[in-house]
Amino acid sequence: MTQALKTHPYFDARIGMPVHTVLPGDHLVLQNEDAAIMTLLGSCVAACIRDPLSGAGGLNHFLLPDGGSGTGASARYGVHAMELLINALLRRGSARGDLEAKVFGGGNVMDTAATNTIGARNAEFVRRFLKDEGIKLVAEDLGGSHARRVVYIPKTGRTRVQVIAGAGARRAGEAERSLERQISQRPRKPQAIELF
Amino acid sequence: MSLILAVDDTRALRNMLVSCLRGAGHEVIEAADGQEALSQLRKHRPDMVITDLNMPVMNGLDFIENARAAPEGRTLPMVLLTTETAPELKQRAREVKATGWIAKPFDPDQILGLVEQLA
Repeated sequence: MTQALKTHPYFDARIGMPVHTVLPGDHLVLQNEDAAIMTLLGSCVAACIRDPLSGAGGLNHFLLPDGGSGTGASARYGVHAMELLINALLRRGSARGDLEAKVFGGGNVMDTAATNTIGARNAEFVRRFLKDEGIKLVAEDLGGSHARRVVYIPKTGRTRVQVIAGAGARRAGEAERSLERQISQRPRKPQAIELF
Repeated sequence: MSLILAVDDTRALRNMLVSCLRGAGHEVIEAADGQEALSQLRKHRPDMVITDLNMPVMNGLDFIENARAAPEGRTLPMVLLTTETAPELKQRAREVKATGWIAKPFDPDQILGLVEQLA
């Protein structure tokens, strides 16, 4: 999915604005809108990136599937998720050097050694990617053993992170496992190469 | 074994491309934008170019258009590797005489297959 769909927002009375939801594997960018973006994170990570000069910003929600280190084959899913978000901002006229990022997630929500590794690997990947690309990291909340509900307001850069435990955390973990299965079973796209 | 010019402003993507191509025995030179790619092209005369579309300084489409006008680039296979999907950009790629279009996410087997075919 390269063109992320803007979902129908719900209205959050506490922050007094509409909130769009981003699901695992997706991303969304808003420009100068009085609206927020929400995502629920288990071991996945979300990068919230904005350009304070243009007021454009958004977030993605991704994981590196199992079976590789953060620098190996699985890293390409992370690189792709980051590129989709960053390109959406560059297309709106932002310069890479003006972007600022906040990153969240990478929790060990399933309470097994395997998910502990997944969360840590996702967290390590996103930190390193931002460093390599010279994108300013202004805040992070990564790791731990809980899920997170992240609400991001691109226009102002404000975030609200709620810790989620118990059933909510398990649901977040299950949604992510299903994304991971989708990635690993995804058939190769025959139309991905076009010769002119 | 071929000499490939890999052009992408995202360092992580460039690194993946380089390690995939070198792993298959190809030689790789790199550039981070179209301008740099033009000078690498003149200097090294690669067998094939794989380039991103969205880049600062000079984007992939302008790079290909300029490269086609140079003797080194007239018949060179030059493919775009991009997250873009817009038909008008694809049309523009045809107009500047790109050889082909590869949709990201980056897939090493696809890239290597195409290099085999074109380089």
